[in-house]
Amino acid sequence: MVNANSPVSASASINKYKVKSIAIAILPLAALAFLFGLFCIVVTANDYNLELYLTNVINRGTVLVLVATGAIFIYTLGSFDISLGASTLLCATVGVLTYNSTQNVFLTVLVMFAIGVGCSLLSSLLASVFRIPVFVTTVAMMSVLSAIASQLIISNGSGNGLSLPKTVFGPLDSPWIKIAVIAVWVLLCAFLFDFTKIGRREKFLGANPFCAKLTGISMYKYAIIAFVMAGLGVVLGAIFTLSYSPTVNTGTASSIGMDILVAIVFGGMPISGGPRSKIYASLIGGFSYVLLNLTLNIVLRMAGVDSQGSQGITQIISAMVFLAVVYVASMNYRAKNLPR
Amino acid sequence: MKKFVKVLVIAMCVMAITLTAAVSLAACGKGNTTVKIGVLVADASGAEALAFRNYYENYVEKNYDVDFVYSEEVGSDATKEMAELDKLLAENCKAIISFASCDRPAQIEKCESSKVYYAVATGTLKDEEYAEYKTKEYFVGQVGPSTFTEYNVGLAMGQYYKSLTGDNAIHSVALYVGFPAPEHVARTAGILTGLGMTYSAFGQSLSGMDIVGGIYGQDNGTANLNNIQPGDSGITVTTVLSMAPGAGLDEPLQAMLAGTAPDALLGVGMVSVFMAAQLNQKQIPYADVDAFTAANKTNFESGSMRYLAGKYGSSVGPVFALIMNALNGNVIRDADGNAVSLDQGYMVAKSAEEYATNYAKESGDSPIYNKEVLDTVIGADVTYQQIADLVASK
Amino acid sequence: MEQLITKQRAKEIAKKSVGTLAIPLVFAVVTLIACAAGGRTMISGISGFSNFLIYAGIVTITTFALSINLGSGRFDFSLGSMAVLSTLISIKITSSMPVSSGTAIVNLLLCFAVGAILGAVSGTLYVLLKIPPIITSLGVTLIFEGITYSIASGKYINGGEAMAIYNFMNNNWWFALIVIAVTLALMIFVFDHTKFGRDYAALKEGQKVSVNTGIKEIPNAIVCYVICGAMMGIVGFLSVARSGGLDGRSLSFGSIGIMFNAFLPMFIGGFIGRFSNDKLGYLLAGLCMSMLNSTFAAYINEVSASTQSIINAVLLVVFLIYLSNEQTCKDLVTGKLFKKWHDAIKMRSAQRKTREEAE
Repeated sequence: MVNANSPVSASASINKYKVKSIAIAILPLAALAFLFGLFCIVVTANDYNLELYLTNVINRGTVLVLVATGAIFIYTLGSFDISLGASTLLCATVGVLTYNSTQNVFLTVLVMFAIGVGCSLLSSLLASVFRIPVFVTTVAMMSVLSAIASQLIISNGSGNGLSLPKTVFGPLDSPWIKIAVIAVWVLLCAFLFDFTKIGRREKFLGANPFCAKLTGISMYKYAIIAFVMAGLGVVLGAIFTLSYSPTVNTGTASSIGMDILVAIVFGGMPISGGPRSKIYASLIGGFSYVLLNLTLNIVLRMAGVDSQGSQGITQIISAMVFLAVVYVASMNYRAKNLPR
Repeated sequence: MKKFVKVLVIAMCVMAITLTAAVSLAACGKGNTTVKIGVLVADASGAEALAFRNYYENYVEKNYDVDFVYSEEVGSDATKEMAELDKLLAENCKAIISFASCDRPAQIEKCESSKVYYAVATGTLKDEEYAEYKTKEYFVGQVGPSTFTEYNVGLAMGQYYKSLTGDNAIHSVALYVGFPAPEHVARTAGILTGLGMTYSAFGQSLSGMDIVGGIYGQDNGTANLNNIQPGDSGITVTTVLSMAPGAGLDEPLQAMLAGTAPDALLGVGMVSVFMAAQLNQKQIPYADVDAFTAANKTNFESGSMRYLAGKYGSSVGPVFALIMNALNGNVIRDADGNAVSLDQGYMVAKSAEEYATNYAKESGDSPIYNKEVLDTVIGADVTYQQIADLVASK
Repeated sequence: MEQLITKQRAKEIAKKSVGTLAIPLVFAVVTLIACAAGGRTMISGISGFSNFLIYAGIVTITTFALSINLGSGRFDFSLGSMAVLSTLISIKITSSMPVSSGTAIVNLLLCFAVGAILGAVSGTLYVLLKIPPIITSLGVTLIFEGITYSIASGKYINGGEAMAIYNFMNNNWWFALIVIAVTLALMIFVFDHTKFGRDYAALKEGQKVSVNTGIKEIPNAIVCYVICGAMMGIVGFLSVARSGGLDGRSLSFGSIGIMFNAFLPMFIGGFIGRFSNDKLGYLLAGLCMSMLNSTFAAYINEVSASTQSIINAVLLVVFLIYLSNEQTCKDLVTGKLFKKWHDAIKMRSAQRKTREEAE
């Protein structure tokens, strides 16, 4: 019998906590591996083309992961931005218009960078200089950016959207290029996030902005850096949106802003930001979310639910799984009071 | 309680895994020789879309050894459209019938590179797009109303209302111009021209098909009341209702219903979805471009629908025939060796009796393009002319 | 002395009245001038007034619902999905009933009750899972949207089941007024005159301290969600009354747009509330939004939908810039800001001069 107060018991308890912490830390990765395995089983069992389906997973996940990885810098500060989908749409729209009027790829990319980073800087300016609550800023930005993009698409197109020749960004539409770009972007962000003072200070600001300010860390400066990183993610997202489908419509990237929230939480990132933020949460969460939705869609159709009906049920089940994963992942961080 | 939730979560996960594995294993070894045809849809819930789906799944599938795999609704998102097309290809569909038009050139190129037959079943490609893709090996063709046909549908509607005399004469109309989609804008231009009206854009007074360019270039794809110029017919447009993104249908619709009722509301599509109930109740006569469905039969018989230019469920029969022939090795080409391009018109009903007659032609068990009819154009020796003649005859 | 107190009180009342009514009056004057300038009518006839009231009701009650949880730091994306699902369930339940006023009233009660149940589900999930409310609300939104989509088969529902509500509300304009008045009274009573309301206010201001003093946070939070759900049930009812239909096609957060309309009135209402009562402020802000909406409707052929979105967003941002920098704005208007800048520059140059002299 070991006394509950003995050092042995305390060390056992610490070990137990450590094991639990490690288990929870690798849970998102394990969930991704599990979903990947399940997806492969389901696709193979149906005699579907696994290679094409995996390409489909990469195509669906690329833009989400690229934009979400940049967005993690904002989320780490304890802020959030739901206007990133609208920024991606506007960036892609202006890119198409620029190329169609200049036929200059370099200028097109330059303008897209200006728009993507500019939109982000505007958000950060409103949030940090004018001290407007970030969530309201991003709601307003979402309305404005999507309204401008819609107006540009409808007035410059002919009903079916605005198109760019496939040759402009089409060569980037290869799964290997997408994997490479994701890898480079995630590694670059990981370097900034985990091995430079930018990441450390952002985490500090996210955990305790008051304390961080007292130590001389400028909230303005790091908010601007965070929004610029998100803007770069938006530009990459817009380029790969156009590489996959060279036409932009009013519905393009419409759900990205909210999908980012789901993806990074799925990947094990706390929505409150701070020191537990993980840059790879977007990668793991983004692909987990795509795999989960596709697997459920196939399984439901196998069970006899038609494609129309399966959309609603897929969403219900994936939301339940989402809540369950977040619940398990946050088991070690329960506060006494209700979280806010 | 905490324990209960934990158990619940674990139980849910285990249940999900077991279910997935069971269903997957059940599916294993189901040797299937049925040909899969992917159907890419932009709208999955409209009356027309449901009628087409009903025909394919409940009539064609029963009579031919094919399985229609439907995509999710792609709406107005070209990226989702492409992702859903990729999914259909990954599910081994041997052909694609497309009802989605966000980016048709991209769809054709994707199917061409995947060596999968492709056909357009609603609307048609732009002339320059057709010219570019008509010689592609896997592009089977297009059967549907061309932009000019859409314009003519509106034109006929406008002319009909302009021609009414005596007690039925029309003095004021409300227009429902739908979305900024090519077919809706073309029908709007047709209606205005049919009513003898012109449209002011870029300092000019436009008429006919030119109105389409004016509505797009100047007014973002939605006709503006201020730019509609009445002609010499004495008919005026009192209200323009639209479903352009965020345009807000509610206020102008309520204002129209509350104010002096127009003599008729002329719509370019989906009036039955968004406002038929209110129009029926207020007994405001209306015209629409939609489908011959049971709901519209009720609108004609006990509501105030007075004119319908509509498709019917089996309108999509000929495009299926083209695809079947291609899958059986007979890729039909026109006299110049190009992919088939056939213009398909609408059936028009101007009274409940006409509606009933047209509606009776199409029933679940015996559609207009029933097996007997389809078999005349499915086969190794079927030619372009046979299909063209059949489409022209219906 | 008594005279002085009376004078002070009168001054205070006058200040409060001006503060409460200033923004609505400015809105009214600006929108009326805008309409008059173009020869338009903002509200025409009883039907126009009915629409005006219904829209004001939708915005006001959504603002009530949004402010309850947002004020306590709980961001809730599920408001829109609760409105649609509660109304859908309600009209499905009453689908076999005749299109009559009675059915409309039953629908209102059902919307309220089903909304409350949905709110209870959402709140219970939040307290059970103990994960941040914004995350819970993401999951709940997806679940409610999925259920709505499945019940409605992904269709827009027009007429039929929805007509009882539509007819009744459009033929009885006063009913919208009653709904708004009763909701406002209910909100004021529950949040300002009950123990629950006092606990809510305490928890809002200081969660830890309140819990330590014995306030039960969990039941309070659940009741907040229940009230939010019930409010959104009413919003769903009013939305059907406005459009005659219900959109069952929203997936992937398509329903969250409903709550975005309530941000501007929430901040305007909060500002007005400083001079009177925040709930009354939300109502007045709702009326302002309805005036703006009716003005846009009067200019539907001149002001495009995109322009309307931009105007609304810019108004929100400008108002928030003012709220967040109130003192600076006041100084700017009174000219004090320039004096401050002038003093600061003067001080710096003096410091520089002193430094230079010392060197």
